[in-house]
Amino acid sequence: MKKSILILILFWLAGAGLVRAENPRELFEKANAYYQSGAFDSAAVYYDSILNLGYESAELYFNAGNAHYRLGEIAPAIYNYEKALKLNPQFEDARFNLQLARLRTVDKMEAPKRSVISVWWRNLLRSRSTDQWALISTILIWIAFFTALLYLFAGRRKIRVFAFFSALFFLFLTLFVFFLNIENYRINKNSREAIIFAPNAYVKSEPGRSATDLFIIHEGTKVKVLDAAGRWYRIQLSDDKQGWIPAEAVRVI
Amino acid sequence: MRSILAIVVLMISLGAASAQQADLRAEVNKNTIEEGELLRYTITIENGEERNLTPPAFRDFQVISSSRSSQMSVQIVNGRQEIKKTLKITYLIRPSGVGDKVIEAAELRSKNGTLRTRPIHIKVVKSGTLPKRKKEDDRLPGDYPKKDIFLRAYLSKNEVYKGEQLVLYYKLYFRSGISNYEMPATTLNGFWSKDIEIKKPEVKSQNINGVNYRTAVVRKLILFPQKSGELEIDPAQMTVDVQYSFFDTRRIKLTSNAVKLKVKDLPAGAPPEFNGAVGDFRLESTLSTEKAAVNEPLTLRIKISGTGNISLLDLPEPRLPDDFEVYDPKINERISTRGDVLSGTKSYEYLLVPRQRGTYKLDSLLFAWFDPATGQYKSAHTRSYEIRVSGEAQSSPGGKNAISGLSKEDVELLDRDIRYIHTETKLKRSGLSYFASPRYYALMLAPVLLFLLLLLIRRQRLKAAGSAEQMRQKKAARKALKKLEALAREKLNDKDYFETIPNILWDYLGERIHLDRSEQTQEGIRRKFESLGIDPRKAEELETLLDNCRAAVYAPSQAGLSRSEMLERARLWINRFEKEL
Repeated sequence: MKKSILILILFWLAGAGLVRAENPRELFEKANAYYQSGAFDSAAVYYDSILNLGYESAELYFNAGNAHYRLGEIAPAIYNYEKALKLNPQFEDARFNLQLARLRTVDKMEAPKRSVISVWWRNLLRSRSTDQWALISTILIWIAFFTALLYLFAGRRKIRVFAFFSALFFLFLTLFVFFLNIENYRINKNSREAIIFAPNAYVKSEPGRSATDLFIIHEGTKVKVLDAAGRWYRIQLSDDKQGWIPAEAVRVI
Repeated sequence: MRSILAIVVLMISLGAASAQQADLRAEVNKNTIEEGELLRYTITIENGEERNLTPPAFRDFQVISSSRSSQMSVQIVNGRQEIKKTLKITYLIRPSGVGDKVIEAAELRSKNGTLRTRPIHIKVVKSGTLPKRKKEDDRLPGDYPKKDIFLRAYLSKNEVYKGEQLVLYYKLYFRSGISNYEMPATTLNGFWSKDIEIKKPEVKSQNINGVNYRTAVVRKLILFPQKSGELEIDPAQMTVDVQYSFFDTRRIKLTSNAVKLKVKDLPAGAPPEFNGAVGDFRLESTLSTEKAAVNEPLTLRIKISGTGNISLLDLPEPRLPDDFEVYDPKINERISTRGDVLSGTKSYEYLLVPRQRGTYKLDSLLFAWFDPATGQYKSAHTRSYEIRVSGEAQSSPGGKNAISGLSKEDVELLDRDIRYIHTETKLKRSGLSYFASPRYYALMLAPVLLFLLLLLIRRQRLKAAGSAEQMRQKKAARKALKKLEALAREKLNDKDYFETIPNILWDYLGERIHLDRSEQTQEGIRRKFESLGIDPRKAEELETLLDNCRAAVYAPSQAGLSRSEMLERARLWINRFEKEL
């Protein structure tokens, strides 16, 4: 209630030009100040407003997650931490806070055991974001390019041989990272994940209110979105259970 | 009446016994007899002597015979031994004439004075006026005429559905007084039964073939057949104490008829929730509240009422999510057999404790039964509820729900706080992806294209350089041969002539295989040829050729070869060398 009033005031202020909504940088600092003074509800509103303006960064999501966590809103907190990690998979603080937030959710499920190689591959893919992988491939291909130049124009035969093989090595590395990233991109695109925002939701056997209830999931649980039909999503839990839930019960990461 | 009398007599006799008191009694087996019929008159003396007895005079009667029986019993009361003597004198007498007759009092003298019985009045009627049984009075005890008392079993319905209730009656028909009876007992196979309590049997009269009977239903049972087919209920047996007269009671065993009934199977097409209930029912449910707080218990009451076998009913169980703790229900059953119909209510009271906040559905419960009155299946359902649970779930480390599913690492995290916000950031327009941007592909493709371009330029330049070289090499042989031809035409002295031939060869080798001036030695040529993989014999030939030229220059007389021969050799060597390359 308090929050919605705040949002209203914020919109009114924005309309009156009192809040310079066009400057996300200032909003971020203001939000941080609110957070530091313990006004977590105001901080959350400001952080969310930056996101609504169409700006993002791993730190912004992280801070927004913290504000929601402090307000006891676990689902938005988890959502924001996940978003932060999506932008920066090495964001250690976000990982830590996400783990703490997950402790406060109801559903605790064991992921089924997968083979060591598939886990290793997944972890490798997920250790960097798509853009980070893209940056790595760009750097690698330029290294390959310069070593190739060395091969072409070096006078001494030994240097040329060394340059030739390094160029080849870096070229293969580039190609490996490039195709790995394409796989990463494809996985990210296909396996959309979502956080349950409703306090609880009945998972149905098929889309529709009258369908059979399979099980119940609770606020803050992360699910995979496999499919969509109208206002319904087919979801999969980390323990491989599947079912349909209304789209309004979740928020896709 | 008789039992009261017996008690009074007993008390008196006990009193007499304790004081060694005498007692005197007299009784007859009936009060109304037909003319000529025998009457039994019995005098009982306790603690007295027969010699002190004055029997009645029997003025209206004729004594047929008399018999005696005596009995002595010893009792110890309060440590005192008491002896009780009983003497019975039975007279078989026959009245003389019709009308009211009197058996006079008997007298007994004792220490306490004279005891006297009361006179007994007997009514003697004409022979044939009393019902037949009166004539047979003197038969042995227990052999009571069957026609005068009998037991019959009845069923309220002869054809029922399996599980449908019906009533089994046992009706006693009798003409004389019944002082006592036991309930008719039978074994019921294939039935579930419930007795209807009969507090006081209602006695009615019924005329069967002109004979008046009194009737009473002595036992009523509600039956629920548990299997289908032709079922038979075995005859029931009961004992009845028939009071023929005031003093004459006889114990009789009666056996009822067997009864049969047809039990039909329930028709097909039962709804899935049907679980055997037959009758007519109503289903109700109440929930204490639909808005609850976490850990605040709710009560769900499901009540089923109606006619049928309530005791055997099973109510559907409510389906609730794991977020609720459901305690075992409190089951309440009330059954009534009013109106010979088994009816009642059965209620289940569930205690539900929500453990998580959220909106939960309590699905409606379905209950189906078979209504034998209409021959159809019917069903009812409770209303469904939506329970809104508010409040915060207890997730303290000590909470039962919170601790489950946590790993060791998680438990260690429990009392730690989140990490602080970051104040430095670079905000970007969201949705911009470097990977999907053209910039990325430009940066990826640029080095490849650049490299290919450089490679192409270099190749081009090498090609150009290469072709010039080749031309020079190709031209070298022709140039050398031309030079040799020109030499033949020129008019030079021998010395110059033979000095020019090696120079033409050196020039040729210089252009063809880049033989430096420094390499114009025997050793230099050998090494060069070796590095190019040329046959070393070619070097020897060249060596001989050059030696011959040198010899012609310095010692013309010793030269064995003419000018033209030398020229020819040089030409041949060049041609062969070209092939060698």
